[in-house]
Amino acid sequence: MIRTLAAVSIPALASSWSTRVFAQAAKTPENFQEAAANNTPDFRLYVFAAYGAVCLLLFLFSLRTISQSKRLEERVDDLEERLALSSAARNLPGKGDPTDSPG
Amino acid sequence: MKLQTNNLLGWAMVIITLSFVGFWVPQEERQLGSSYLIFFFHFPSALNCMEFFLLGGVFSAIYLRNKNPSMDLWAVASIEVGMLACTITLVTGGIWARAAWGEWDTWVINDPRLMSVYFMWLTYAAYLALRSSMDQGKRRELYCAVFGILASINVPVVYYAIRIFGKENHPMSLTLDTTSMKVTQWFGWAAFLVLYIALVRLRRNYYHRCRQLDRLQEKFNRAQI
Repeated sequence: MIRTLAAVSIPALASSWSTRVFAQAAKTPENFQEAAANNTPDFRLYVFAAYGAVCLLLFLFSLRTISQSKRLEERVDDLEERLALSSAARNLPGKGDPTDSPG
Repeated sequence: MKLQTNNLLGWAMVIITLSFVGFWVPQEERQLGSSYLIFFFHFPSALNCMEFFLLGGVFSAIYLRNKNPSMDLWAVASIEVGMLACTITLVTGGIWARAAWGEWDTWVINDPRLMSVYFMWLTYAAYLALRSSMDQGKRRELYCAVFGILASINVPVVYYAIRIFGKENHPMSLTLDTTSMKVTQWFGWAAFLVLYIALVRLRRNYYHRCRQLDRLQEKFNRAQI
């Protein structure tokens, strides 16, 4: 029984697999001339791959800009703080202030 | 609208567009077959790149009139995002041309619209090169504003290229048959518009920080002396 089933199904499976493989091969992007004959290949995979690439590009561009801005913001804050500290140190009493001198 | 909200809304709309393309619009067009699906990304990028280049020209003109440095930042941010959209247009257009006409290379040379888009891309690449080659200051802002206005003159030429120079391969517009196609086309345009506006705002923020940092560093150096 099993032998009979195998004898029938394996060649059938093999032939259907080879048909699918050849059908897939016929749908390569090189086969563009079929478009003129109104028998176009299936480009959906390539179209969605292109969409994915576009979205990825835009996403990476956004992420890069956000991270660059954050880094710059930190440096700006740091510089502002240092400037405030240095101006505070300069304004300390008795540090170069002529009114403090006894004469 | 807050910057992050704008960004998230843009991405949500792009994902909805993608799901329209995947599940709602017909997967085959009468003549082009399934390759026409790339139109739903190609068209929004093309239209938005022209809008942002024009916007860059408008900001440059306002800068020349008011000498407001903030307008210079908006101009460069718009032009950068326009360049990104233009690059996407050229790449998706090339892929579509290969699928529809069987050619990668001759599409640029033979077709007036594609030739003019390519020229526009090169012009704005020159704008960005000019900007990066000069030190920050009034002189750079002035030169870039003049260049931005001159470069934006090419944008209407790109739009009307087929009417002006005659049709070769590229259609003036693609006739979409069904409501789902039309809705997806304009929803996609709106989605990318929102996303690109968010990107322009991000880039403008970045350049604003750069300017702040330069000023502070100058101040700091003077304080050190």
